[in-house]
This record gives sequence, C-alpha cells and structure tokens, in this order.
Amino acid sequence: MSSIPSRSPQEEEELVRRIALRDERALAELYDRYAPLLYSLAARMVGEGETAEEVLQDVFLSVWRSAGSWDASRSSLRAWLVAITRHRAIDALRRRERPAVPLAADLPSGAVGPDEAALSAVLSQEVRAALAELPPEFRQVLDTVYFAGLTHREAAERLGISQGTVKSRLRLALERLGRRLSARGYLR
Amino acid sequence: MNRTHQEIQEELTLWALGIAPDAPLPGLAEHLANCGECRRLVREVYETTGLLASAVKPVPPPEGLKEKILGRLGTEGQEVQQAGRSSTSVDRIHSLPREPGPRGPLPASHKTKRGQTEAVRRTPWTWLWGAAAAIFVFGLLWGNISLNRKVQRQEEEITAWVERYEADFRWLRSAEYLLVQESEPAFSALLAAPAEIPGIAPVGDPGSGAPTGKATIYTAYDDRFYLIVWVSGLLPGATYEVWAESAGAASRIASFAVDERGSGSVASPSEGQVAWTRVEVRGIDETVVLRGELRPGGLGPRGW
Repeated sequence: MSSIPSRSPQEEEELVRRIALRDERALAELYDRYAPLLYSLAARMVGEGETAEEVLQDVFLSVWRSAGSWDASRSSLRAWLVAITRHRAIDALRRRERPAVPLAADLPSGAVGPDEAALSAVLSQEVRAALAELPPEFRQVLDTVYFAGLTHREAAERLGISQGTVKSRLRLALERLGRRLSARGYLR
Repeated sequence: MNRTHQEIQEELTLWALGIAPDAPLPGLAEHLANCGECRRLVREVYETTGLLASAVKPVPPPEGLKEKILGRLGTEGQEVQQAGRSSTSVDRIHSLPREPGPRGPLPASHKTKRGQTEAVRRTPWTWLWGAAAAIFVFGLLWGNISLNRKVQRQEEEITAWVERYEADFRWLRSAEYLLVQESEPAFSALLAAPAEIPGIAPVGDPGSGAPTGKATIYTAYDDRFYLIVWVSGLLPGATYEVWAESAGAASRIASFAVDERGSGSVASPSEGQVAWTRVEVRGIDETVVLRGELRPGGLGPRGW
C-alpha cells in the first residue's frame, strides 16, 4: 500500500508545478499517488477515523495552497509530504492528547508474501528490516518520538531516561537507518 | 556557543523531526548556515524520516475522501483568508494596540466615558460618591483580571508561534539583509561586492565595535513568513525598533531591548507572503540607524 516514487524527480516536479498553477487534476494525481502512504502514517499516529481524515485533508489543502514552496533541490516530494503529515498529526495529537499505538504492533509477523513483490512493498520491507536491526532501545525512542509524536522531553519521561539519552539515541538511530537505506539506493 | 558539535547535531535532529527544541534559535540557525556537515545531517534525517513512514501498516484512505478534498478546493481561498484573520497568534500579535500618537483622536470608548461623566455631574452627591467608589473598585478588579488574561493569552500565543516556527525550521528558504550603520562607509562597497561576504556571517567589522547586524526572512513550507533580526554593537539597555518596507510603505515590525553585551534580536512572524525590500533598526532617539537592502544576488534564497 505504501508507495515509493516510480516517477522520476522531474515528473514529480512537473506534477507539483501544475498544482501550484491550480490544476485540480494534478492534485488528484498526487492524492492517488501519496494518499495511501500519508493516510497510513496519519492513522498510525492519531488512530483511524475522523481525525486521520482531517489530517489528510489538511495535508492536501496545505499542498494546494503552498505547492510553490516545495523545492526539489532541497528534498524529495515524499519527505516533504511526510513532514507535513507528521506536523499536522502532531498538532491533532496535541489537541487530543491521545497516545498512539506502539510500533511493535505494526511490524510484520511473517515472511513476505508473493503479493508484496511490488515496489512499494519492497521499500516497506527494507525500512522495516532496517528498523528491526536497530537495538530495541533505539527503536523504542524512534517509536515514541516519530510515530507517537512526543517531544524529546515527553519521550524521556515516558521511557524513564534522560533527555540527553533520548537525543543521542534518536540521532544514532536515524544515522544508522539513513546509512542502510542510502546503501540500498533509497536516499538520494 | 558552548555546545559541542555532537550536541548541536542532536538538536538539529530534533528540528528535522519536527519536535520543538529548547535551544536558542539564532545560534543554531547560524551554525547550520555555516556548517556543511550539519546541513547534510539535517537533509539526511529529513529524507530518512520520509522513508520511515513506509514502515507503518498500510491503511487505505476512506472512500470519498479524495472527492471531499477536491470539493474543498473551490472555497479554499476564502478559508485561507478567514483562517489568516482569526487563527493564529500571528495576526493577533500584530493587531495589538500600538502606542497612541500624541495628537491622535480619542478612541470612541473614551468619548463615551466622557459623556457618561457629564451626566453623572447632574446627580446628587451621595449617588455620585457611591457610583464613583463602585466604579473604582470594579475597575481595579476588572483591570487586574483582564490584564492577567491578556498576559496569559499573549504568552500562549508567543509560545504557540515559537513552537510552530521551530517545527517549521526544518524546511525553509531565506533571503537576507545586511544591516550596517547608516554612516558606515563600507556599506555601499559591500552592496557592490556581494561575493566578498562569506555565508551569512555578520557583516561589517565586528572588531571595530561599530553597530552591525543582519536580518533574514525565513519562509516555511506554507505561507508563514518570519523576519528575524540580529544586531550587535548597540547601546546596552537601549530600546530599538525594527521597521520594514513593503510595497513602498514602511511599518514598525517590533521593538526590542539591547542586552548588556550590546546585542539584541527580534523575530516577527507574518501570515501571508510579504515582500520586504528594506529593513531598518532605529534607535528611539534616532542616534543609530542600521539599514539593509534585500540582496537579490549573493544573499538570495539559499540551498542546503
């Protein structure tokens, strides 16, 4: 379900350029392409249902308003959209103060099925494998901050460790993940 | 800055993740602008977090959501305007009353009170004293309550936009101004040779003690704009005002007090796109004016 760009960066730039020019079909295309990934992330952070829908609406309306502010030379479209989604989801969590589900519940339990041979599933699998390789305490910190949307202070309190430890584990966890995904060509 | 490089990178990681740090913003922003390694780090973290979303269990978006979003596009312009007017702290901070001009007209409420006073003079003395005492006590109580509310509201608003800014910092563009004393002879030379200005380091000669500074416009991924000004070499304890010119009209953006080391900074947000073409820092007594022009070339939007 979670997709990865099968289009070239140039095509994505063109798509966003059309959105900036108020082409509704382009936004619909972007939705088809990224809504499954972004909705999954929103649902993971705020829970499925109305709030996740609101988050997704906010994300696409935000893109509609400010497509011109995305700069392909600075980040991938995916990273930009995911960042906006996380931001909106964190806002929603702050309003509701509802805890998110632990990441462990999302991790795959078995082997990859034949239907997951699609490109998106491959990436999903790679990311999960990279996550699984992290020491549990690193994964725990990532889970608390990235998926549950807690600040480093809140994460320190919840996990019973110092804020400094949260920060250093986060940095190391992302560094290791980045290194591995980069080695497999997923980071430009 | 007395922090180690590792500590800075940890804080930048928090920024890239979109969770608010508690570090002084100007120091980190400056470091980021001058450190290629940290810019790479922020970029890598940003991209990694983009990929990390793929780890979640896929959940299909509800049917009809796409149509709902597309259906809202037509009214989007109006909603943006309404949101801009009511939502955020930003406009409310800007709409706070400024100092009344010495010859400005009285507000309508003052006139009303004056009218009421005339009516009261025609009442018996007992009524007059009673009413005056009641008004005085009520005024004290109400004034105290509303002042507390106002201060609390302003604090909440400021906290909200600072958090918003910090979260948005991971994704920004910037344009810059050089702020140098109006009489600084090197000013025109600097403007003529932008290539000689390294990065966004403060311009002028810091060793000379002459007032210098810089201003930067940050824009986050949507329509929030922030004008941030840093200055040094000013009179400790003095108050200065930041003025910015847009579409040919100058307006006061904010005021700030200079610290004991002669430095000061101010950050001012704005909803909607603002094209400031000129920024000035004016002393209240006009003894020092720092002025900078937007640099279209050497100090334009900066890539990471």
